[in-house]
Amino acid sequence: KMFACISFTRSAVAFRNCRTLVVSCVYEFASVSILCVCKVIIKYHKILMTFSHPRCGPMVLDALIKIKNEMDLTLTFRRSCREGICGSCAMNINGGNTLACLNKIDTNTSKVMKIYPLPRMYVVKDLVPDMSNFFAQYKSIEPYLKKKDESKQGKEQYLQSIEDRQKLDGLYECLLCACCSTSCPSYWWNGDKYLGPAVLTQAYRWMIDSRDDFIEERLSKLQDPFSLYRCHTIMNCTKTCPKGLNPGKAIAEIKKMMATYKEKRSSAI
Amino acid sequence: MCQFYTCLKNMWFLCEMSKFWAKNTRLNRPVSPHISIYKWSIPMMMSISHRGTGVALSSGISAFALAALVLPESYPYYLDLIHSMTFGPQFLAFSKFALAFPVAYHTFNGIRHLAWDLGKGFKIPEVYRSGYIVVALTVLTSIGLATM
Repeated sequence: KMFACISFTRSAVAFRNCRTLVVSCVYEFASVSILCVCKVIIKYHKILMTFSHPRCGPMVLDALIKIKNEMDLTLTFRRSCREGICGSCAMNINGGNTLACLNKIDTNTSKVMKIYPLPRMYVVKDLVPDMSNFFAQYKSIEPYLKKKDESKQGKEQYLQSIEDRQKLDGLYECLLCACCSTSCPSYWWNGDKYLGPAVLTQAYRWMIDSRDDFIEERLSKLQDPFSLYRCHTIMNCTKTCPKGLNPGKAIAEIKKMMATYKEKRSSAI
Repeated sequence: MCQFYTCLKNMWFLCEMSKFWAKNTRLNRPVSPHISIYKWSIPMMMSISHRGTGVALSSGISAFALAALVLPESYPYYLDLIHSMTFGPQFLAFSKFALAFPVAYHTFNGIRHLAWDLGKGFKIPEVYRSGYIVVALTVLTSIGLATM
């Protein structure tokens, strides 16, 4: 049955007008025993919704889209890639921050699933938080390559050894979904001045990039009680990251560098 | 010149951020729930317990120092007073355990924090493992100290 399903899908995909056939087949394949019976409580929507339907994609995002399509058209949430790479659908599901498109619906139909927006953020509507502060903090760490000598810019590649490139693994993959920052109690209480794990991980990513020349200036920018040092190694960030990255470790490495770097005044141009 | 440019950039970020706060307070937007809905985990509970025991221990010592300053009699007098009181053995054991527990917990978790400061033990399984070891050591040490 499964093989027939796959081949049918392949041929059916070629015929885009047979959308219903393709869709039902995909659902059959994806939801063999997954019933989609779940009660979804969405706090800021203030509506308790229950729905029972045998055909639904396996992820929480599929359920949200289904609710929006069939039950409540005003339900508002961010979404884009539906494959865990854009970071739009970050929200608090069952108490933990994840991407809705990567979070499988629990097949235990007696359990209630609770969906909230990202914690302690200003809510624009339903599950949509105001992310402007988060993005402004990201811009403030200057997340781009800075060279002391700009004369060679554009002429050829800035070469980097394999070892130096490996240092960036686990850092560059960050989606800036804000799951980690909004899971951090320090960021809850000091969100205005503490940068948060996501932004600090990116600051570290640029510090240890061998092609970047401004490591000392980047470190000195964090030299105040709040930007970096509100981190108390609570480790909610690493626990909740939907991409499996380790912001806690990155922040610890920044703290180590902060202890040993010598403050050098950047030479005036 | 470079410092002037940096100063301008910092002012821009501050401006952006203050616009964010002004806009959200003006629109009276609600704030999404945090403590009430976020799922508690062992590392989270251990972290707040570290802070709690730290506050309790330092305020205890400060209270002791303040009492030494304020109370009329001297320390030997109060020591004899406590010795003269009769307490049940269970009460004594329990109170010794209750005193030893925060000290032991804060000490062992403190060592865990020092390991983190060296950059060690940041993978999530390692965080849980070190956490369980700290709790086990704390209970054993507290019982050991209470029965001494």
